[in-house]
Amino acid sequence: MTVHSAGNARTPVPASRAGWRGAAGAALAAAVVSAAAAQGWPWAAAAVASAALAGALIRPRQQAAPSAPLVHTQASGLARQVVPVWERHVSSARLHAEQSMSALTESFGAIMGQMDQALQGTTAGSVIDGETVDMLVERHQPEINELLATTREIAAVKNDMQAGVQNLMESLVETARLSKEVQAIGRATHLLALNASVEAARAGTSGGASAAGFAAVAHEVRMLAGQSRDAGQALARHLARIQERVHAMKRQGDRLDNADDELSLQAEQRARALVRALLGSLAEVSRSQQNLHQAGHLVQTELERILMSLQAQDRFSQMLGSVTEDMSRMHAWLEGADDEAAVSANKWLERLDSTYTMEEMRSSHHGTAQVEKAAEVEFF
Amino acid sequence: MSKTIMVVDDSGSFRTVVKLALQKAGFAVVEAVDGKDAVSKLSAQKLNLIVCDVNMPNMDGLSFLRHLKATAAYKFTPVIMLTTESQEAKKNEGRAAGARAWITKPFQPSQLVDAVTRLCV
Repeated sequence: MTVHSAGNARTPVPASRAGWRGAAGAALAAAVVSAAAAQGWPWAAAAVASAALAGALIRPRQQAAPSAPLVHTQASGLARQVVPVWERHVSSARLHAEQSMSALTESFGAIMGQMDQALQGTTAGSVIDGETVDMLVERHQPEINELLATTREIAAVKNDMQAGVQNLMESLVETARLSKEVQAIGRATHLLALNASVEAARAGTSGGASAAGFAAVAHEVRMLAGQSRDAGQALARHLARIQERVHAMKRQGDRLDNADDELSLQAEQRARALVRALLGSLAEVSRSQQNLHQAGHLVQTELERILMSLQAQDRFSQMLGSVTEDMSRMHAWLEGADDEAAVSANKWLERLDSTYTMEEMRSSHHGTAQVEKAAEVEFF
Repeated sequence: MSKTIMVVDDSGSFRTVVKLALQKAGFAVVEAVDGKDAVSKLSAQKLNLIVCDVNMPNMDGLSFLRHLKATAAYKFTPVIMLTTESQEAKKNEGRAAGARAWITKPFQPSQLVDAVTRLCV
C-alpha cells in the first residue's frame, strides 16, 4: 500500500509559522522510532534513532534561548537539513525490508513447494502388522504355490514311477504263476514218459521192433520233460530275484513318499517364513516412511505459519510509508512550501491521522491501547 | 482445469503469501502490482475472481474496482478486497463499488481460500 501525500507548493516561510517547526520535527522522529520498534525491527529503529536524537536536540535549544526568532531560524535551518536525511534513511530501511521480505517469502514458498512434492511422493500408507502379513501371505498364495510347483512336479513323477513298479510287480506275480504251471506240466510229462517206458518194457517181450521204438520215444519225452522242469525252475528263480528287487524299489518308493510330503510341507513353511520376513522388513520401511510423512507435515505447517507471519512486512511498510510521506510534507513546508495544515501542530497531526490505513497506527498515534481483533471475512 | 485468480497488491511479499495460499488450494494465480497493472493484464486471460488491495500507487483498489465494474467483460467477476483498511467508511465504499467481500489483513489462509471458493465463478 501507499500513503498518499498532500500536494505542496513552495512559497517563502512566514516568520509567524516557524514557531513550532523544530518541535514538530522532533515529534516526527519519535513517531518513526516508535513505529519501527513496535514491529520488532531493531535495525530499522536504529536507522532512525539518530533522527530521534537530532529531533530531541532541537527542543532544548528552543527552551534555552531567550531570543525566540533567532532560535526558530536556527531550528528551521537545522530541520531543513536533517529531515531529508531522516526521510532517506527511513525510505531506505523500508525498501530493504521489502526486498528482504520478498526474497524470504519466495524462499519459504519454494521450500513449501518442494515439501509438497516430497510429501506427495511419500504417501502415508498403513503400517504392516502381523495380521496384515497373514493376509498378504494368503493374497500371494498363488505365487507361493508357483514357488513350490517344482517340488510338486517331482513328487508327481515319482508317484507315476511307483504306479509303474506296482504294475510290474503284478505282472511278475502272473509270470511266476505261469512258470509254476510250466514246471507242473514238465512233471506231468515226465510222469507220462515214465509210464510210457514201463509200458514199452512190458510190451518188449512180445512187441519186437515196435516196442523198442516206443521205448526210445518215451525216453526222449522224459528227457524233454526234465529239460522243461529245469527251465521252469530256472525261470522261477529269476522271477524271485526280480520280484525281490522290485519289492525293494517299492519299499524305497513308499519311504520316499512319506519324506516327500514332509519335504513339501517344509518347503511351504520356509516359503511362508521367507515371505513373512520380507513383509516384516517392508513393515519397518513403511513405519519409517510414515514417520517421515508426519514430520514432513509438521515442517510444512510450521513453514506455512512462518510465511503467514511475514504478512507483518506489509503492515510495517505502511507504517513507515505513512511517516516518510509526512516527513516529505514537513520538509517541503520547511523549505517554504505553503501548507494549510501547518497553521498548528493539531492541524498537522489531524492530517497525519487521516492518512493512516490501520487501526494500530491510529492507536499508536493517540497512545491508546489497541484491541486485538481476529481476522474475519465480511461478505457483501 | 483450475480456476484463475488475479492478486492485485503493491507488496511483493504479500502477493507471494496470497499466491501460495491459493495455489495450495488448487487455483492458478496471476499477479498485478497495482490497479493500473491489473487493468493492463485484464484482457490476457479469463479471470474467475480478483483479490485486491485498497491502498496502492498509480491506481488504488477502489478505483480499479469501479473500472472493472464498468467493463462489460468483467462486470460480474467477483472481487474480494484484502486490505489493512478496517474503517466502515472504506468498507461501504467497497460495497458500493461492487466488492463481494472484505477481508482485513493479516488474513488466515483458510479464511481466504474459503471465501475465494465460495465466490469463485
